[in-house]
Amino acid sequence: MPSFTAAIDAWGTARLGLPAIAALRKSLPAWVPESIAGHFLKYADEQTVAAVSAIDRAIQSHEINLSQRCDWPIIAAPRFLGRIAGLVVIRGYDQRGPQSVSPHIIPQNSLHSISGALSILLASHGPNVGVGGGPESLDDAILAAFSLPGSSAAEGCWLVATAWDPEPVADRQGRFSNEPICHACALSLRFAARELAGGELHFRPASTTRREARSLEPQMSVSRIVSQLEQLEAGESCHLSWLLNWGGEVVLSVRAAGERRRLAA
Amino acid sequence: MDRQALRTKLLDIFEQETWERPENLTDDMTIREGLKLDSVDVLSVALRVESELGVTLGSDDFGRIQTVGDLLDAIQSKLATKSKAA
Repeated sequence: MPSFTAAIDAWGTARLGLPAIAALRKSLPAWVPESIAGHFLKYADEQTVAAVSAIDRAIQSHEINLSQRCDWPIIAAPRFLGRIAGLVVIRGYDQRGPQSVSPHIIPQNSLHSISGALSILLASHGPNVGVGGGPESLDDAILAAFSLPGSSAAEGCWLVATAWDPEPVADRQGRFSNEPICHACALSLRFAARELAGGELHFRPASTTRREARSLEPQMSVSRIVSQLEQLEAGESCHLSWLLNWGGEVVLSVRAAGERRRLAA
Repeated sequence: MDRQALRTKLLDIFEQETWERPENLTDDMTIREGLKLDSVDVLSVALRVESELGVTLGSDDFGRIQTVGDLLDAIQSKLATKSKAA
């Protein structure tokens, strides 16, 4: 299996508690087409709202022209989607029967829900796909992204990974006993470019030496990536590298916008 | 329930579904483009109508319903049938 490198030309993150998610449901980003209903996110999964917020930050901070990437594939990797909606549905079904179950539960809380919602909001005509869904969905999404260059004519793709950390914990009455935080990281990847201002995402099948392998982390989480990227000051960069469970390796190098402007100059 | 009271009830249902309360819910307003309801929203509205008004709107009904007026006609017709049956 060959190595792959994609350049990152924009990135954005979101780290949201439940009150922030509730507020964001009512305000679609400015770049969303006017034809989209204002209640589009009302029934969306919390991870969808976080994904939209991360994409919005990528677009705003890197001055993305969406019309130039209307055919880009969208890969979204949620982790344990539908936990809160599932809780509401199960409680409602138990107490009030099937009529209490909203028909929105399936389209809004399935594996492809995030990528589908992003596709509509971004007015994308490219393929959209949900990947993973479980504990290793981030790694699955990266592999899916690197499978695109041979099968898609698009120059790049959106890669969005989302996850709760901590996961929501509720009692039998549906009250949360913790303060769950939903994380999202959005990367705009360009396949042909070797280096762009936002950084690089590199994948290789296996470490060349044991010494190199020891320097890699055994696994990576969306919340860790978001935490690292949100700490970046203008001009700073960070490098995260981790092992995939079958021996592959991923290196994510991200630069903050200040350095981007210097490189562009 | 007269047509105006039914229209007000529908306004409440649309507001629950979309957060937005249209200023005027006219008969010629289209459900898809005018109210920006997608197919799942429409199904959700049908379930709310069933729950709050006691009439069932099936897929055959929604095949014919394009506007708010069509929806009001369908609900009024079903309410009348239900009333006669009682």
